[in-house]
Amino acid sequence: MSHFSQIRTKIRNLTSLQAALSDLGTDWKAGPSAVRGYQGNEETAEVVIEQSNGYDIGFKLNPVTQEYELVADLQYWQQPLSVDGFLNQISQRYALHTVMAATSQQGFQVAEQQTTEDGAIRLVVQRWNA
Amino acid sequence: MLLSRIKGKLTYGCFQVFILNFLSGCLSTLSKIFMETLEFIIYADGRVKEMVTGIVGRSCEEVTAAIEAQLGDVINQETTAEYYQQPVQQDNQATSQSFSSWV
Repeated sequence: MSHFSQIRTKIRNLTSLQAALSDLGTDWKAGPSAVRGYQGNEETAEVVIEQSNGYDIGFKLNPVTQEYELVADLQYWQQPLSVDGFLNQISQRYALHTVMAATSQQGFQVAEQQTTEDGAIRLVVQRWNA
Repeated sequence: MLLSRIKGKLTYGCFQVFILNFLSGCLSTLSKIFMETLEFIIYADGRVKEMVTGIVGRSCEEVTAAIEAQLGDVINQETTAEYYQQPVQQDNQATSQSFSSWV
């Protein structure tokens, strides 16, 4: 039987998550709003990605872990990337935004940013020592 | 005659290399003193490796803590005392590394 699945992530910052989704060209909307599932089932999530097949993908805050979990009926997954591929890319972009936000807050500026052959992002930030 | 010319060139070449090495050494020492540099490798699956070079100020620890708070569990790889006993090699040496990991 089709049902919602919740997949754990390590995503804790909503702004960085939204920036990551935008990086991937995902058309997301801010919630809290309904994630449509099988047979009228609904979940409420902080970020919702609507799919044309009528079943949505959401990121829902787990109040215990304070992490945003992926909520979706995986049987109706309709994205260019697989679930794993999608989560990996989101995680990488999320990490990049988190690192950039945290370092710029401390006065660091990006000196270098490049994508390596294996798909990793190398980021160098620098700051003058007062 | 030819030999002495080659010798002269060689000496000059060595001198140039020496000067260049000396200058770049000065530069890297200066940047080590005055620049805080953080290097991050963000892997395709979202794991993050952090390397700190130059002077490690308190703000670096704050940055690392802030990142760790948002990226989840972190495995720290502390620098051991042995590290400091090693002869000085290249610039851009990592003085500490931390990894975030998926559990």
